[in-house]
Amino acid sequence: MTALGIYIHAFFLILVLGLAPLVLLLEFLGIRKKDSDYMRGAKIISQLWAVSFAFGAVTGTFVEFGLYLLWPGTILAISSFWFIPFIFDLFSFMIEVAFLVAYLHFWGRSINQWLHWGLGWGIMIGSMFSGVAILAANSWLQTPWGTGNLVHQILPWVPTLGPNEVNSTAFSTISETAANTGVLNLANTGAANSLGFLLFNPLIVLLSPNSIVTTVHTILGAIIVACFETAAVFSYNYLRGGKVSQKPFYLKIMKSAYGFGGVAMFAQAFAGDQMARIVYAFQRLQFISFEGISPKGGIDPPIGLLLYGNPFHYFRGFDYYNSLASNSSQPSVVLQSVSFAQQSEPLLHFLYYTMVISGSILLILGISYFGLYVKRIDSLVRFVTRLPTERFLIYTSFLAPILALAAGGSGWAIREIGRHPWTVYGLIQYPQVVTSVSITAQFSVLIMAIEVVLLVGGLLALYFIPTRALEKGEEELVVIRG
Amino acid sequence: MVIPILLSFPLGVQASSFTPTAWLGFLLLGFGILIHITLVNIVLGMSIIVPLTEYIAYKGKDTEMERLARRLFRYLALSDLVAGVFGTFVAVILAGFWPKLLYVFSTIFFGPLMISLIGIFASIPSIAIYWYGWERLPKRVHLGTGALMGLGALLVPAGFRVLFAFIDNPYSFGVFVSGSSVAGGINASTVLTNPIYITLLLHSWFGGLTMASLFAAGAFGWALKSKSIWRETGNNFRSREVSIKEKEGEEEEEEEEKVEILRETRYMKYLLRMGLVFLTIQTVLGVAYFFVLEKYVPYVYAAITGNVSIAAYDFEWVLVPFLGLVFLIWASAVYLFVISRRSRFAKPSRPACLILMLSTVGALPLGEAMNDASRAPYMILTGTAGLSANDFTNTAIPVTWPIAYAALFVGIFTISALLITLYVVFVQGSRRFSPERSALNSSLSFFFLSFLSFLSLPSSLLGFLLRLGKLIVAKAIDQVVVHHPCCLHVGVAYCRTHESKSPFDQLFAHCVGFRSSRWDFFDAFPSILLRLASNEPPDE
Repeated sequence: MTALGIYIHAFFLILVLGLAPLVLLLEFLGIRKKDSDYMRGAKIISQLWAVSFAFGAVTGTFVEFGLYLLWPGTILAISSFWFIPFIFDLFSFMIEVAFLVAYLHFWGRSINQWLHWGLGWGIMIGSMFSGVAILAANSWLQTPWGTGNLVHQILPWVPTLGPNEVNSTAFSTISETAANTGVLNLANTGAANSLGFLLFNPLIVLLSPNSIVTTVHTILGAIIVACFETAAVFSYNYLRGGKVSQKPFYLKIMKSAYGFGGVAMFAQAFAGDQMARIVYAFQRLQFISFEGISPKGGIDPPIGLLLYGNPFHYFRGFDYYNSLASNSSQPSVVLQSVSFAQQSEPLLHFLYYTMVISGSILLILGISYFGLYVKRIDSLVRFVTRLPTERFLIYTSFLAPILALAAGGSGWAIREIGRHPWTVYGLIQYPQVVTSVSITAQFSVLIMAIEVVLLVGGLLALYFIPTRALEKGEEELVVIRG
Repeated sequence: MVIPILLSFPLGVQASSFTPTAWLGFLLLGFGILIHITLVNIVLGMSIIVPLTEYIAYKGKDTEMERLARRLFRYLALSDLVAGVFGTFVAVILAGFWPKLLYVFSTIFFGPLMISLIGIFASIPSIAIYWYGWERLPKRVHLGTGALMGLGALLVPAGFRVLFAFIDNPYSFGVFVSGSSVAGGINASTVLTNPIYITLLLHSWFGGLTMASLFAAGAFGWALKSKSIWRETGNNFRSREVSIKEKEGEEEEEEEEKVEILRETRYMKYLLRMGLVFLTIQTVLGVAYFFVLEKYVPYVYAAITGNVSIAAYDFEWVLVPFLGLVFLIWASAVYLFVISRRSRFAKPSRPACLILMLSTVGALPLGEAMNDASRAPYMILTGTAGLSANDFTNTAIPVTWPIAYAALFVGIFTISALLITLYVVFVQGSRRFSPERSALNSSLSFFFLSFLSFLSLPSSLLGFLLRLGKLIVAKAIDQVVVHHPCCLHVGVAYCRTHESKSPFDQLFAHCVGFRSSRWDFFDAFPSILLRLASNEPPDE
């Protein structure tokens, strides 16, 4: 129920994050080249942007309520290690709304077009900042930076996680709390107050290396998904027929979106490598699971080469990490963690290679885009596919968003499933933060039905609104004032 | 400690009673709730009034009433947008600053919160479908969507007001409060028979209906008086404002205006009639709530009646102006209603309209602030004492006074930026209609957003300055030319040369120095095209 809600929320957020740079690029090209096609494309895509924002906000409200009601332990999280990210996110959201309203309202009205473009930057900066804050919050669950050696004492393979900025006694007390108490029964204010400060430096959450890499990797992923989805929409309209005079417009926007997404893939390949290194450094069990290392250990030449420069580097398996239980302050927890990782290995392995293969194909598609400008690449594309580059891009623009969504969805699934059974890795487990109120199956079905209705509503809006705009044709030409 | 005490003065609360976290949390939560509740009351009221009006229009085949419903619906959508933003604000502030209170709500009041959630998710898509479905859906389906929208709006306070009633008197719900802990559960019968909850809920529902109807009535009245040509048959009354129309077109223009005046007078009467009915019920409920407070929430009753032997702070200074505003609402609404009944061409008094709008919008947050803040320094009341607010605040992270102040200023700045932008967009945006038609949009937006801005002082100052700047701008009536083919208009020196040097004196004469803004200093983006001239000015 929670996972479905978060994924649906994330679907719209990806579009908000990813469409922003594309809209600004098209508007820039439109102003600079005085090209009404680019301006029209930017305007139509900005409507998608606005719809995604609206549905993102609605689904976000739903997720927020869900977290408070079903996972009241998140309340403790928000009041401590999530405090700064959520407050930053809140104010970024308000700034975003302000700029978005102004941007949409002043489009095509009597305003300097560069100023209008600047308003778009305001939205993008607000949404990026919001993304940074929320991803920092999630990253802290993966790698609780600022806990020093606290996690290492429980899970011996985890290195020191930054300086010690937490109340170790309080966290140890929390980690030993029984399940379903909503984290120490916050209703008993005396018990909660007796813990004292949990975090001495709330800003430490933003400084996690996991947070920085995750933010870059996620934002690039959002751009890629959004750009390829946009390319698919315009390719569809190009192939569908209709007014011949509109075809150059569809093609122009499709190429711009495809190119932007393709270029982002190059950076994403690098970001993905960095992400894997972070996981290897701080969440070794997850790494072993998705790489499919044998329980007794073994070699993985490509990874060994990337990480150590040695294709024959020996990676330890689950058996080794089980043996570390004797070094832990909570041996049963070590065994539990290793057991979870082993059980989820087949799934994580599948998801990981789905992500990697999808990403690799997208990288190839990104390279093929340059066939529009580089003859050798065009020749190669024609040789392999028997199609000119332009045609190739049109047809593959339908495959690309599917691959992008598969890669992104798989990546997030690995991240969240790989963290099991921990909510905060090494410190707080899921049963400690879930509600004590029993949830019936009917209730779960009702909530999931509402979530699906919201998704369907959002998809319909995303389809109808630009379709209407595109059908208006040349009447929607945007006059450029600047 | 002087500064926090001074800044807390508006609440009548001594900051020294609170930790920095509690003080900051109290202010941010109070601020957010006041704006949020003001807006959701507009939404609640309009969610009932708009479909009701559409139904009346449908039954009577009355296109004018249909038009009214559509115009009012725009303000519902605007209010819902901003209310949603502040709803998120309140939720995050609760979790960040009042985690223990939120935890109590999420466990003990799981059911009521789910009811509110269902209400929110019934009303939001209903609003969207209602918007896009107008003239696209069959009328009965559209009205059904409107009914769902109204039902959703009613469900939201039905859930949330349980929480407010709980913090007034938890024992009335059978919830055990002892020392520093709150434990127990509720059931439907304890909620539905709870006198505090029932009175508060009804008061909230009718408060929203009253506020929405009377505020809109006042706005229509204000807009009526802004007609540039106004004439009443038989009394030889004429507005002094000057028309720039040709004489032969003037009569046609005046006929159109007469029709418009008739229509908007009718709207105003309709809303006033409705509003007075709701106001009557609301006043009765208000009196009932006052007696409920006396019996079940003695601490709040003592605070608002100035009995400081029981309450820590005297909130009588809030009750008196609140009652004053209620009186002003009655007086102005009745006065306008009587005036509007005298003639088909209503000539409403602008001061009365202003008083009605401001007092309507002002009474609600004042009443809410009185109800919520008067419990200080407690959060949950237990008769004449309670559990301290400090016990429910965030104790997990250190918040010092400098951090609290910095956070408060950042919060006010951000909220101000949002409200100013909405003000500029929705007041400026009304310029795409003719000034007469824009008057309603302008006045509704202006007063509403200015009031919200007033809650945030920086934006209120800027907002009023922006409005003041408009008063010295020459006003065009209609059909203003905005594109200037500069190369053709030799005698109209609006353009500037493409060359870099121009006669200094000419710049002012050609308004280039102000980018053709024509003394509209505050309007950086006027309604004329800003571009470089292709020719030299004609005088050079």
